[in-house]
Amino acid sequence: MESDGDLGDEVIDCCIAHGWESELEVFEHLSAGWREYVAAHVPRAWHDHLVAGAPAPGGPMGSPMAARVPYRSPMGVDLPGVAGSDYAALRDQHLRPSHVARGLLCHGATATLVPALATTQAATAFVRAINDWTRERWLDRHAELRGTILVPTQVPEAAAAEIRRMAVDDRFAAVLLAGNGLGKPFGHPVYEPIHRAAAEVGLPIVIRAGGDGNVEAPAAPVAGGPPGTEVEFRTLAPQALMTHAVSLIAQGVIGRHPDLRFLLLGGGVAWVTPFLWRMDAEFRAFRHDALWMDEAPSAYFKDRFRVGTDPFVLGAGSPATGLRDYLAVDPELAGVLCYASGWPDREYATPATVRDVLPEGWAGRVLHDNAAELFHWMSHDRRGLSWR
Amino acid sequence: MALKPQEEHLVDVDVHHTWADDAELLPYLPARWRTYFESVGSVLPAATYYSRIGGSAMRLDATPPGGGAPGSDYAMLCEHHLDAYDIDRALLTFGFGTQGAWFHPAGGVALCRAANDWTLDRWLSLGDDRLYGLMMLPPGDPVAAAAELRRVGGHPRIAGALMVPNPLGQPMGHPVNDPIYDAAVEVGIPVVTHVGSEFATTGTLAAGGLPSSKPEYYTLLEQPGMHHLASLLAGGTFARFPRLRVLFNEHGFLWVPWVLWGLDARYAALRRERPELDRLPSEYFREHVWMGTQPFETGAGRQAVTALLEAFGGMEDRLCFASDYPHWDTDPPPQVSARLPRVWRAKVMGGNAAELFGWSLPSRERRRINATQEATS
Repeated sequence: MESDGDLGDEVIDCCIAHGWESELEVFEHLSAGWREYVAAHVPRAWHDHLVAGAPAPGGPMGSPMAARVPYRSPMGVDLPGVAGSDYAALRDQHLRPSHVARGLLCHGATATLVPALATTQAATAFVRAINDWTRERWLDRHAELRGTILVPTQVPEAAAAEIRRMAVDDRFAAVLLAGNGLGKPFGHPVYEPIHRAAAEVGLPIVIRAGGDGNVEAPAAPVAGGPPGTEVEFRTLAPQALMTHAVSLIAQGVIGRHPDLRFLLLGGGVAWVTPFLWRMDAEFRAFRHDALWMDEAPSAYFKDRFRVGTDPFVLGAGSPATGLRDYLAVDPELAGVLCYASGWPDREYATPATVRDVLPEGWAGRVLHDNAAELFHWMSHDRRGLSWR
Repeated sequence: MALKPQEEHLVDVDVHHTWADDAELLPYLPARWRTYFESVGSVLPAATYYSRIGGSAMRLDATPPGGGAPGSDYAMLCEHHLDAYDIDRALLTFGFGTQGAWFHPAGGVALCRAANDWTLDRWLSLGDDRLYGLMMLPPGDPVAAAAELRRVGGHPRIAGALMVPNPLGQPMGHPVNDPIYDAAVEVGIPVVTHVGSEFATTGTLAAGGLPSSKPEYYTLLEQPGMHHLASLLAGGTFARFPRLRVLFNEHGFLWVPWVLWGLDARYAALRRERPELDRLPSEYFREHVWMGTQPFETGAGRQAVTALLEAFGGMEDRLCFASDYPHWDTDPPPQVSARLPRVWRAKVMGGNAAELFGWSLPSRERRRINATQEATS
């Protein structure tokens, strides 16, 4: 394997899918009333543990907090033997061998769907507990990690309040939009309180693909009907990211909040170039629908949006050389893409895997600089990097 | 000046012809349905999302001098498009072909039967050897659709079966559609789909929520098609129907590389879900699927489009020129031809479509001689 060269230990990973081993970890952060609520959904012995402090029983507790994930991988979701709850595994398998100096915690599929649970008040309470859990279990213990603020998207004012509550802790580096609680593209004015709050506290917004696949929320995960295989569900994940991105541009969110920036995760990298061309062509044709714009939408996109590299899938029929030539068609993407491992997802990619495919001269920006700039983690002097 | 060999044929696989107004179609309906559709006052599936935010999709300059809908007047179509660009073959593709999504399924079947008799009577009997047509399928009732395909699909001027609306809310690779593919293979014509599958059903027009403005809507217009293609490849349709051929019209084509790379890369997982797939999704694609060129990408430079496609490889064998006349974003043939690498032109502007539809096209020289002889005899 090629050495990391001048990257040294400066890789930034924009997507680590952290999770809990048991929902009990999160329940510790619920109020007594909400503990009673979840206790009604677990076996009797666990109920007594949760509400009356009885000793923890054996046997499964169930997952009263989990949204139903509609598509399940026939390969298993996570890397064999690894779940996102194990910091030691994260450190030994990923952070150390890949020289990841800083990683952004972006939750796995279960947590990202909680904001779209049909029970509105519960979704809001759970999301708050999850953020407190991220702080206590991860940020307080592991200095190289940063958090994202999960928000209850279906109640945008409550989401805004949660952003303001958590942003006081500057280890939370972004707002995380995933479970789409109202089934509208994220640029819809109904979500304005979220955008306003994020802009106010100066945090970028991370949009994680998969949030539209929740069976309890009305948005479609994929256009044209329900996917018949999990592979189609995964392959077409960029579709929702496209919808949210073009909505944020056309509905004027980026115009109203000139400092607000976005990171799109979970769609990989290859969808971006044809999407930007398509968007430019249509906005030229229908400019009357977005008269506030001074530039082509692709110019706004490249300024205000960043795209995570996960899932970075290569395989039979999808050769690295083809993808390299494809990416090189638009050299400006070097300033847009941000390394995101997706660890411990099955489709996790090491920095080396990504770097080996990137066009020449892109690696420094994609593996470090773009993310450092997005999150304000980079000093002006790259060599004299000082972590904020 | 003689034409260069690579530009010898010009085949347009997406020319929208239509009735001037609904009254033109009504006589082709049986009495029971004529009364019904006269009463409801429209043959277009009601309340499409498209009509609410799209407005008219037609070129204003394509309105016939005597009135009626653009694409409804043969003389105008010849003058404005077929003769103007010296088109050798044109595939008539209806105003969209969404009639089969009429909310009353039997009404949808009746409309499709009427539309097919209308196109045979009014267009494909004109004696213009440039004109071939599609038969319109009502996919909301796949068994009835298959019967209709068998009824008219064998007509010598019917070149394909048009499958557009998605009233069952399932992607094209869903086995509910198998009776249609079975009939298409038996009759020996390709299935042609066109953007608009979700116009009448709307729930899954785009992933992540419905778009709220025209630029959003059109930017995302190709999303259902991505899924329809992915589901045909991943759903095992081509494994079940090894002789099935499918043309995607007005879906664009630049998303094909990333969708197929994504499917291929997940082949191991796919095999666990669909053990009957014995080939990579991209291999099925390269044998069974053709893509119309409209809308040809104008948001980027010519070389960039070519470079993107060449990174994937082989798309010069899959693209068929499509103008989408008389829609507002018609791509004129010279505009598309000029954006193609020179060595792709013969295939994309005519050769691939001829292969797909099994047409042997007379050379331009031969056609000119025939025309001269006809004129002097």
